[in-house]
Amino acid sequence: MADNGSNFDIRSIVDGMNHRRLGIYVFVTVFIAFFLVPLETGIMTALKSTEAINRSLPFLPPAGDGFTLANLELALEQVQRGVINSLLMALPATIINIVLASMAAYGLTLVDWRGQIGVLLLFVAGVFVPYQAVIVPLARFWTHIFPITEILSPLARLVLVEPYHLELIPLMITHVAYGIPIITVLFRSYYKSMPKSLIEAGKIDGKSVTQIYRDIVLPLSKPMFGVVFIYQFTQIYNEFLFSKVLIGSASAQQATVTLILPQIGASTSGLDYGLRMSAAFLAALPTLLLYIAFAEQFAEGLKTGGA
Amino acid sequence: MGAITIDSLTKRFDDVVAVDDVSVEIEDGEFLVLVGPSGCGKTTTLRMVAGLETPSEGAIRFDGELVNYTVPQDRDVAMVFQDYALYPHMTVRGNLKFGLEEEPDYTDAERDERVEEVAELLDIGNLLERKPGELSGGQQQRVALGRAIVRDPEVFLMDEPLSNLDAKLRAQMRTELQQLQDQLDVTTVYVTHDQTEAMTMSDRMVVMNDGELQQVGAPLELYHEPTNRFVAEFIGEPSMNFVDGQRGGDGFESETLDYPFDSTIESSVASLGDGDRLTLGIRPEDIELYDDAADVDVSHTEAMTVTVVEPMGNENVVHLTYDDSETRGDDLIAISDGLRTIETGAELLVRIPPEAIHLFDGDTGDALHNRLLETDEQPVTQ
Repeated sequence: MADNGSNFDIRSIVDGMNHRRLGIYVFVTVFIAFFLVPLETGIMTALKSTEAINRSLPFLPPAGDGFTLANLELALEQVQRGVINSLLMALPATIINIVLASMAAYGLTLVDWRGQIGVLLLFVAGVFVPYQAVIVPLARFWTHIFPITEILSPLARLVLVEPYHLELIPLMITHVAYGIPIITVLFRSYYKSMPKSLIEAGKIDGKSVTQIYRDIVLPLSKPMFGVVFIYQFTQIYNEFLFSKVLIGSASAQQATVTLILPQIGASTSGLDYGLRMSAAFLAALPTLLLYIAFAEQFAEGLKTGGA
Repeated sequence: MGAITIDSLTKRFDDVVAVDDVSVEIEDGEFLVLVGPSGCGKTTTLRMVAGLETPSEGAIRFDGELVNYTVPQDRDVAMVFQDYALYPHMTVRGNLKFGLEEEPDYTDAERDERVEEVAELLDIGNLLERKPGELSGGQQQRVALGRAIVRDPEVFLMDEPLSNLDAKLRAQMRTELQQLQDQLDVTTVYVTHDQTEAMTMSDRMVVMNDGELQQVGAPLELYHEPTNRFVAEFIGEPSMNFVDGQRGGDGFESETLDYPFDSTIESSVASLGDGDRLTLGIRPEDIELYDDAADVDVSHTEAMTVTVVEPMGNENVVHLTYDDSETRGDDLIAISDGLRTIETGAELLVRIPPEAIHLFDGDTGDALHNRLLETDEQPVTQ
């Protein structure tokens, strides 16, 4: 670019560099704006009164009495129940899921036994089973074949347990089962990169398969746990189809946030954008906080695990 | 206590034979070194003794008891890994104590005491609260050793434990390991590719190549009486000189060297006819170099040119070539006294003393004749 044939001029190189760098900055800025404007528009809309939304451009900040927190307050009231239900379901589901998957991956990677490959292939196949294919059998399974909610109904007498909480259990178990294959595969690739001599040293030190998992493998998988926890929690928290099939109505007491969200701000008189945006941000808050809390592990896990 | 019998041990990985029919008796308290080039099956053999691999054929017995299918947990062996395999999330104390937790005869206080004791023995007492990642290579190596010692096992297994240390530390640890093994008097099987380590540390050594056992014996026995060309070449630094040729005339013939045999040597190669392939071997330090023809017994002497001199201080490694040699490579490597000045390009008279030569079958590599040892009254023949 800066090569002007025989006429060698050092300033042209510097200028060339500056132009090039300037180009990069412009490019980056445009793309940042491209990705951030919808987000910014959302936040601004959430903070505007209906009147202000209709009057001003969507991405401009609210001016004067156009600013209101009423949307947020109302949204919080409506979305609260769903967020709590979703957390009650998603947190245990994620934890059970990744613990089981980590154990399975350990057994399939660091312990030797016959027929391992066959079992592993089952797990891999599990990754590719589409949600749509299982929803009908799934609903029948939980209502007719194995009505776990009824079986566990005596638990509803315990303190802090409401009957509708039990309705979340089928959903929770479904998510655990559905999440295990992919998380197992992720853990497996992490465990394959773990030095085998550590496991062997454990054997020589007289430790059983279980002890080696608990005392050596588990503590060393911490970064990977960070990564899959964020990933799987987000997946389960944001999932809609299973909730729709197993819970159904947004008005049900056990409705998850993904069921409730589409109903908020929708009425025959049209959509209340301010309310919807506020609700959307409140619903997204738990996953956002999780990313911030686990950012360090996430980065480290990506670095070491290559997941 | 810790006697190990390895009987016709074979290990196959799919089609590859890693260890082929190896048999060794290891006495209690012995320091046995398995040595060979990489890929020779020495580590696989060690791992089978540890229980980390299951033999395809043959038997491993600890004090007469078959342990082929015994898991490592039940073998009462301790192992030092090449990469040390220290648990990175535990402190040094945790690492040392980890294996001890499975030993039933200790109370918790006794375990702590034992850890401290071993840490003192290895001079790592002040590192107990650190994590392995904060230690230097040499310190990590000590911790790995400590982890093996602390359990007081029947057998120590060591897989190239010194290979990640720098040369000076390696020499120091070599001595220390030897003293330690002496003191503890525990059967030790040690794997290395470094023949110096094998020579200096072992009570007996096992040389392996391509999965097959080549020779078992005391270091000097292997040095002076190798059973085949591979052992002769592998043991010793710089390694033995070999001249390929044939039986003919009144001794050995090759393109560069004609070497008449005396009666002792003649008797060991009597089975060979004229023209049978033969390899003559001579250790560099046995080659005699003379400046002046007047000093030399004329037999077995050739004039050669010095191509390279490598001064080591205590000795010079002298590379020699025949004057009329067509190949530009070195024909012989000799060692001379360090104080003697030898110039590159100088012409020297080179004598190969008959009492120091080895003869190997040119086809099989088997030793036909080994050097005569002055300590031995009897001529040593294969």
